[in-house]
Amino acid sequence: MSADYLHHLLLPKLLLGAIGTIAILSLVFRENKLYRLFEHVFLGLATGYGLATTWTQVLRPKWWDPMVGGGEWIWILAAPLGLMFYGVYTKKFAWMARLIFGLYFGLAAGTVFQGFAEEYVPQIRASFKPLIAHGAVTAAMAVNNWIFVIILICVLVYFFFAFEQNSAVIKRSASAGRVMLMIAFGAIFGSTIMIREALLIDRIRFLLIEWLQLGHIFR
Amino acid sequence: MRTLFHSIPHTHPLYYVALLATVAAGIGILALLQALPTRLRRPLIALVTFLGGLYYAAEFFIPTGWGVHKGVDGNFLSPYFDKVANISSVLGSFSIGLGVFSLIGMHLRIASRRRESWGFSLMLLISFVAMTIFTLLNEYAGKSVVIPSVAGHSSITNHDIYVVLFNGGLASLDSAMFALIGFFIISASYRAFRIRSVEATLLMASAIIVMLGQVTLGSWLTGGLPSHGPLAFFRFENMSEYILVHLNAPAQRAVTFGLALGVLATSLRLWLSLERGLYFDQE
Repeated sequence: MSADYLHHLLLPKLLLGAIGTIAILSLVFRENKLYRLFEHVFLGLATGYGLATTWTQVLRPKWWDPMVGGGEWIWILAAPLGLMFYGVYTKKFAWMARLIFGLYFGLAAGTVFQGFAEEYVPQIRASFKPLIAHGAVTAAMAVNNWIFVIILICVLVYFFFAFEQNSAVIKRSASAGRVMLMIAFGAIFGSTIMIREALLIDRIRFLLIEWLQLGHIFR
Repeated sequence: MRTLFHSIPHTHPLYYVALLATVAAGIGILALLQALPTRLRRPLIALVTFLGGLYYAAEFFIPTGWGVHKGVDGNFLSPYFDKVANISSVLGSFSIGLGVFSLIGMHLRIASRRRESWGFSLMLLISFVAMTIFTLLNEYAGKSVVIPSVAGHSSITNHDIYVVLFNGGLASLDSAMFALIGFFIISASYRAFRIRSVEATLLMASAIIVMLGQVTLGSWLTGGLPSHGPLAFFRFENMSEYILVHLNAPAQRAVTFGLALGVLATSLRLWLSLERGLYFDQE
């Protein structure tokens, strides 16, 4: 083993990544102390990064800079409002935390109305597809549109719990919807596994090729 | 905000007067709130929640063109959209400390009292402090903080340490964690597929086709089939695409519609303080 190779193996960035990856993946065999150590390290790093980026990406550019650099003094009011969140830690001021949470819930609920209109209304409109082959709509497209609309209706019927599903048509539509849901869940499941496997392959590539430099074996 | 509260240059003495007066007013409002009779607290929370959502609802429902010049998009409330969104994200960001305090407080207690596995808690605290400091330094100091050489090694900058913590630590562990979940999904699916039913078989068949459609093994297995014509449909990549685009998309859209309606109804209940439960019924 050459000194250069040893130096490469011990590079802090690679060494930490390699030991961390092995430690996390070791859970596949059984729970162990190395896994728990790196689980805690991961949690600490992620929390620290989240806290720092909240300041650098949100609070500094949207609150501190306009207030201090831009002279928008009214932003100082956000500080006592923000502090109200921390009322949860005392019995006396706990209700104040609910007050500010209420404001935040209200703001979040308001954005949902707008989000519904912007995101879902176009989707509802796009679901009314041409079902008859005419002009630019070919026969194959019309068949696919029929399939799309039938699946959409069947799955929606499956989720209708507002009334009892007594009618034979409703019952059959709902059971067809259930079958379609299973196919869709299978597709989502397959895609999810592929994404996770891609990450696993990336980690194995990191260990074997980037860290251990065994790329020549696979060529 | 645009008309009522003019910004003042921070070099002007009036800026500091305004700042101090606002802080004093804020503290005064908090004191007044605290002095409020207990029976008025719930109605006040309901009112504040309603007012919080009112802007977005009003901005959405008031017709375009109201209170604005011709040719201008939206209504008289629309110009304040970004400002309100900023207020929302700033307030939300203040709450991040709740989670951090709980986590760090708990691990500080474990580490300081040397309870079982206190070493892990100590490592969490060290990695938290290191990541916070070096992310902030990396953002604001660039590579300017040089850490002197130790025992003959060349000196390193704060950026070098940040790269070790971020690329070597956070990014690697994040990927490894998500890759690990893959194993558990497969293990769970194995157990699920042992339940022999039509639905489980359909789910498994669909998953296998989608997976084989995305890897070279799938292309190799059905590579003998023609790439054009009716038989081309039975190539794994084509079956996978058909399932994803024509079967999965409408089913997912229907589920999304259901979810969206549920979220809308819950938001309405929250906005109008109709939600009931342990948290919402507290005095």
